[in-house]
Amino acid sequence: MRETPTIAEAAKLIAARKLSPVELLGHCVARVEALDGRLHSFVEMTVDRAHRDAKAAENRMMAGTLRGRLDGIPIAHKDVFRTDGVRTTACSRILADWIPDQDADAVIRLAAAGTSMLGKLTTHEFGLGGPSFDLPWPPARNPWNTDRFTSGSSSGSAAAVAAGLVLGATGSDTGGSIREPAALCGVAGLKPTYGRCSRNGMLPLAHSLDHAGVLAWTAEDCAILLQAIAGHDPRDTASVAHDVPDFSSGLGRDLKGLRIGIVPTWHESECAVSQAVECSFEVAISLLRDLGAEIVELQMPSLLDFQAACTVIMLCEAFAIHEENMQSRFTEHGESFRERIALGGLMSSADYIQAQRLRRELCAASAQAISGVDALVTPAAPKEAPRIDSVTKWGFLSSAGLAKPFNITGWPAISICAGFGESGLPVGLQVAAKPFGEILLFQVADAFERAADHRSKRP
Amino acid sequence: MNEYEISQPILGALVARAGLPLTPEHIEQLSLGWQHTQPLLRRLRRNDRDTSLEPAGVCTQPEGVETP
Repeated sequence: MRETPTIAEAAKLIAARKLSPVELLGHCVARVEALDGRLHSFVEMTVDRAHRDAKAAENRMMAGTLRGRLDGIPIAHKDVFRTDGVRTTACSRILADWIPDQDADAVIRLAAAGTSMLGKLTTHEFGLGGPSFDLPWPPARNPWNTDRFTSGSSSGSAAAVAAGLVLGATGSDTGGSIREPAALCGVAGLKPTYGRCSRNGMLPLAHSLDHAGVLAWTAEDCAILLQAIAGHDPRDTASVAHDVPDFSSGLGRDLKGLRIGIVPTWHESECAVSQAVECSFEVAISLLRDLGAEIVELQMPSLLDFQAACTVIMLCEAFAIHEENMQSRFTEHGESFRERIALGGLMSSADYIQAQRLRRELCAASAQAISGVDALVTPAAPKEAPRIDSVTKWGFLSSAGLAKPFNITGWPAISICAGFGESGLPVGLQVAAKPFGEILLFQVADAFERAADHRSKRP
Repeated sequence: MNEYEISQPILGALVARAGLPLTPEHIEQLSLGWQHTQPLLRRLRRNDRDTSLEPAGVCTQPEGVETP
């Protein structure tokens, strides 16, 4: 096996008994051994566990009792997901030696689907700090150029999938933490609808904005992974008892009859995008038209309002979660995390309530704006990956970004690869849909990926 | 002092209220971050919001019950 297959490709081969899950795992382990010394995408390997998982999947393959398309697929989890018997650190000294005695809901569901768990993946500290160079775990590096940033906080997840070390990974997204690293590393990253997937066992950053999601090479693979982790869980109070449809049912179709919204003010004036991002977005819009979609300009609320509400809510809720450790173990945290979170402790109750009021206003206006279209597309990140040593501690406060509107509204959104800049670094396209509209979201993303053909190029 | 700067005594009081054991060096760093939060905090304020947007209104009538 020369290149890492997609989940869909591997599933077909396994179902036809042309690929052994043990052989597939061996391919992934060999790639980790060859590449991860430079990428730092893994914080903990569970090779023995993965071999047991793969062997069990192989036995089911031979017995004709495969559990589905994820049976025998090597994956790994962002190190904010609790794993029974496996150290879970959130890349923080605070949890450096914590070995949970329970799995997170997403871990349980993906194990039940037959995946082979290869280990735990690098995150920014508790999903916020980073890139941090003062922690025991070095920050993950971008596989397209290891001098470049992955973005975060699902940094290891995006790097590992891009480099073909695993076929899929879990991630968490509070203000773009799945979609931005997916964009900068050239993979697909899905933040499902708020409430679609349980966060039980996922270390929180900000309860009202946190989403559990997945990363993989393609939108199709994200649909396969979402099929496993979606569903109601009463242990997560935000979990919604909503039908779990066949998320792959819209794949392979064109876009005839669909109306897709764009918001020119966001990327033309409120969020400065690079020339490569601007060009790739124009090409993407043209391609979506060719696929049959009608493109409609929308009037959405200001991106700066989304940025203000999301950042203030995130910092205040995060400080409330980490307050005790911030007061008693301040310097044990990395500098980047502790100083960002401390800002939340300085804000007032009025600040937090005003942010929630603005959030309600933004949700109402956004629902109105999107009512006449089926989906919405934007650039996924404003620029290609910057140098990792150029990322500043306070930059996240002044950069509006294009991901936060969908943490505020809870709408599903996916970042997919939209091409490459002059330096060969990937740029992303974000597709969003109405709440619980993941089938349509995958239809648009998959149609674009197939037509654009950016998935044949690996780092 | 620019419009977003905060005086050290006021910042020190906020840090004390938050219960954070910060050194003067930490507080100096935090004052830089604080300036970046001010444009965000100012964007939150509106005087003309409809009361239906009030998040404190958490109680809703059960389905089927008519609102008086």
